[in-house]
Amino acid sequence: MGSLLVAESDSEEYYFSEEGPGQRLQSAREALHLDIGSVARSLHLTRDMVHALEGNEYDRLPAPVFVRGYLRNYARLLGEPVEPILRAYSESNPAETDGQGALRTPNMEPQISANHFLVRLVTWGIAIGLLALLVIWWQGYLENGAPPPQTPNPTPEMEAETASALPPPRPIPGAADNQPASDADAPTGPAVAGDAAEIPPAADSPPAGDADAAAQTAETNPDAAGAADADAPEPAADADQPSVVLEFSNNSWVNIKDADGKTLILGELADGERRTLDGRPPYRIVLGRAQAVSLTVNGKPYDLGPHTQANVARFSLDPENVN
Amino acid sequence: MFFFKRLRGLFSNDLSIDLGTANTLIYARGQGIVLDEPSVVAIRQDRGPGAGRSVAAVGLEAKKMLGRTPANITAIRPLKEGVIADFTVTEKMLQHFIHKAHETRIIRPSPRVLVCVPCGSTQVERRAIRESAAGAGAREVYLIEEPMAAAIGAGLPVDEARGSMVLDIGGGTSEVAIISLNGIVYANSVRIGGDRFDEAVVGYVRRNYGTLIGEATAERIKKEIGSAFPGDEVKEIEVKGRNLAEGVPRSFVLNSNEILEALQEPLSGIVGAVRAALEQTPPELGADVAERGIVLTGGGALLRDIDRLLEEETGLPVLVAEDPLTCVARGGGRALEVIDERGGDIFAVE
Repeated sequence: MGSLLVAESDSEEYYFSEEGPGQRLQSAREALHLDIGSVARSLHLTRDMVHALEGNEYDRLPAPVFVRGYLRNYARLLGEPVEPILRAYSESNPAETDGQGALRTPNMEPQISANHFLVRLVTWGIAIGLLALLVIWWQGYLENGAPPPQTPNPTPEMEAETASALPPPRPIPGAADNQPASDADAPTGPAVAGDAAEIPPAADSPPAGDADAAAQTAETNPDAAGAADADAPEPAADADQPSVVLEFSNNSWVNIKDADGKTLILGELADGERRTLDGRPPYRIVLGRAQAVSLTVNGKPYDLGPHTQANVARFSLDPENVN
Repeated sequence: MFFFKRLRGLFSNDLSIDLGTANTLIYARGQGIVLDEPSVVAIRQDRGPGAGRSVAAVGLEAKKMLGRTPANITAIRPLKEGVIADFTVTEKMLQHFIHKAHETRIIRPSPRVLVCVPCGSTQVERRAIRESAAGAGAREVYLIEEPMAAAIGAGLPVDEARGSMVLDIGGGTSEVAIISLNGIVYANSVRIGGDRFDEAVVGYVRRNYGTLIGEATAERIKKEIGSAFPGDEVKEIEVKGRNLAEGVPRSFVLNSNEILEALQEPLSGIVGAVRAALEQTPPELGADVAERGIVLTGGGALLRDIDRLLEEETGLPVLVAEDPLTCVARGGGRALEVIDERGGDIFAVE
């Protein structure tokens, strides 16, 4: 081409054309009286490739990494210094020899992978859309008012809060005297209180009436049912429980415990004494002298005979079963 | 946690690590090779009851200690034959190297890392490497087979529909592969590498001179006068070792022809692997290889005249790549860029 580059060698100066080190290799080969064929055999290359190397026709040769290798081997074969030749090649092909251009993307159109820009964009769009819908629904939900809480088992703290937060229940006519504890403890709120108000006065109802009332309450609010069940028996024990009366015609030793294990009577009772049981039935009764005791349930005499052995009666009494 | 890793990732470079048996090289994107150190760790056993082990030195410092340590320090090479032999120590070493590659940074680095693995490594070995890199602080870990990285680093046109053959002679393994269209057509790994050359030299000196030399001395002999093919020039080197009969250090002179003889066995193993690869290659790709030649990479390619040996044995042109020691790390770095551009399924094996 035009200007010439000068490269230093051990002893003399060589001239390289701008196109590469081919001329120098050719002159060195000719100086050694080697023909192309023998060089090609020694380098395990074809004659065409050796011609291309000497003619700096690199487009007829494979990738730069190969060309550099061929040049190095050729220079070594001829006993030439390798570095100036490779430098001359690099200078004549600066773009090809950086090595980074060797890796091109293949001609095949790559499939869109999960981290492709478009896929990511669409995914984010869908996610944001769903989030927006959720927010809109929630706002509408808040505006329309929340439905009554559906919690199946509210904790006692929650009940207490509900009870204190709500206005006190209206007094129930007729039932107020009979169910004071029920009203005070019932954590059922106004709805339950209203239902309770519709219940016929408990005082008029038979003893099972309370159970009915509780069941009715349970129908309207299952939460209240548990509370009513738990609380109802205690007041009922005073008012509606069948009365159990013991009358003594002689001295007798007595031990009576209620269902909770609480001792109601323990000790010797004298002739003429009369006691009414007020604990929670059923009672566990031991009478030391059964003949001296007459037991009545709701005014009806109860036969101690079947439970008496050697004049000592040991039995369990549930007044409701007696009736 | 993941968020913080990503945040730290903003302050970290993507790294390509050639986790070699002999040397570990790290290529940072946009910076080139930022670390080239021996894969050696010196472990100190602390004194006192219940005292643990701590890292005394890593890399060059530790290599100087090899074979010269007192009782409480052990200088070990945590990789054997291309795979992890000591998981914990490898993790410590990687941690040290990754940190060193980012030593100017204040924030603890959390880079994306591509690690090169031998193609013959098992799933367990690959997982060990992956977890070791993750344990060393990597945000994401990619694995790539060494011959592919070596071919990319050497500048082979791996994307073309033509066969390219690469032979990577490393410290622990030699990998031969034929690559076409960004994929490996055939690959084989033999557990012969620079270490086996050193062992062969040690064995030769012991047999013929009745003298014991260390691996570091053997490596020096190999580098200075080792050759794979008989040349016109005979080089000599004076070495010192412990004479087994007399029990005292003695000096003697070795020449390059003796080392050539010593290296015959491991070299024939590598030639055998190349021959086997050529036999197994489909004919079209074999023709491509025959026309263009075999490219050598790795530290073993620096053994004098190894290309001439392979040329004579195979009858094909054999070329040594530019800067063969760093080919794998550079190729890994380039692969990382391509993975970034086109997704992780191009070269990464897992």
